[in-house]
Order: sequence, then C-alpha cells, then structure tokens
Amino acid sequence: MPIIVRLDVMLALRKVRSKELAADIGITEANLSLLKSGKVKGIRFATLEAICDRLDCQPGDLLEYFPDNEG
Amino acid sequence: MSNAEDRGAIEVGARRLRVVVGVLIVLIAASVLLAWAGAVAGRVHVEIRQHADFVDPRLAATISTGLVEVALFKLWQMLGLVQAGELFSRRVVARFRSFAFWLLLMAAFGVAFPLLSNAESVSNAAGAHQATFVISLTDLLLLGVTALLFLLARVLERARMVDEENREFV
Repeated sequence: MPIIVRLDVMLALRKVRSKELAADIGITEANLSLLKSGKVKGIRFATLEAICDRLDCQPGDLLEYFPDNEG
Repeated sequence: MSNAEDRGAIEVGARRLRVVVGVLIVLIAASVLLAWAGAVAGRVHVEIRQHADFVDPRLAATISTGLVEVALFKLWQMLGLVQAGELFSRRVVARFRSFAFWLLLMAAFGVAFPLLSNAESVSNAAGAHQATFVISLTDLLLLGVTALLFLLARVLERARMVDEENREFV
C-alpha cells in the first residue's frame, strides 16, 4: 500500500492513548487499530478532521505517500 | 431520520412482521392438519378442491402448503436476523434467496401439477384425443412475482457488498 499511516507516531508524540483518541473522535478501538495498521480502504474527511483537531496536527503528519511501497 | 433511528425502525418493523409470519406458519399448518382430519371447526370448514382422480388432492395441497411453510420459515429466519441488527449480511441475503427459491417451487408446483394431472387423466380415458390445459393469470402472476424476488435477492447481495465496503472506511 503506497499510503503509510503514521498515526501511531503522532499518538506517541502527543502522549495520547488509542483508547482515548477512539472515544474522543467517536470511532471504535477496532477501527482505530485498523487505521493505524493501514488496513482500511479509506478515511472520511470528518474522521481525519477529528483526529487532526484532537492531536493538533496536519493531515500530512498522519499520512505519507511512498509510490514504490506495494502490498 | 438519522441512521440509528432508521435502523431502529427497520428492526421494529422486522419484529412485527416476524410475529405475523410466525402466526401465519402456525395457522397454515393447523389448517392442513384439520383438512387431513376432515374437520369442521365451528363456522370454519376446511376443504380441498379436487384436481384429478388419480392422486389424493389432500396430498397435492399438503405438498403445496409444505412448500409455502418452508418459504415462510426462511422468511421468519431472515426477519429474525434483521431484528437482531443484521441488515445486509451474507446470512440475511442467503435466507431471502432461500425464501424466494421455495416460493418459486411452490408457484411452479401450483402451475405444473394441474397440467400433469390433466394430462394423466386424459391419457387414461379411452379414445381420448384432446387435452386442455388451463393456466390462470394468478398462477402466472405468482410465477412472475417469485422470479422478481430472485432479482431482488441479487440486488440485496449487491447492497451487502456496498455495505461491507462502506464498513472498510473509517
């Protein structure tokens, strides 16, 4: 998958636990875990906005593009 | 109406419909049993219309009713799953397709049996050279409706795939 999710890095930087973030932005822990591991088909803008707002970051801090990274 | 309210309304509707279907299953089974017993229950008189001499009409009616009962049971199972919150799951779609299939069998039996019994009675009669087949519009309509249910089952399967894909977006 060319899109890499760096949510775990941002969570560590902001010292926020996954459980807290999931509760604050209104998604399940399971879905957040899938997002962290990049095993989702996509992310809604509303979810992205909520994460950026909670972690005080930019979408670019959460997502990186590596065109040669397949699978 | 929000998504949650919509789902709640669907589950309530499914529960009510399930009760109706359950009552229908029991009533139909009871009527078949009463017919076999040749019973008259108060003002209700159960009778079977005869198609041909060579086969017990009660058996034909029982087969037809049995097919309906199986179809209704599949519908009852499907409604139970919808009531539990499953809307477009594989199990719901499978039960709906099964319901459509048994209903189609019943409709086909309803059309084919009179044709076969008529042909049999004609071939049994000495010197008979003519056969008359009667298919009612109701039979054709029933066949059409059950075929439509199969199409609906495919649409439901597509809806299931869309729902599953939607769940992969967070």
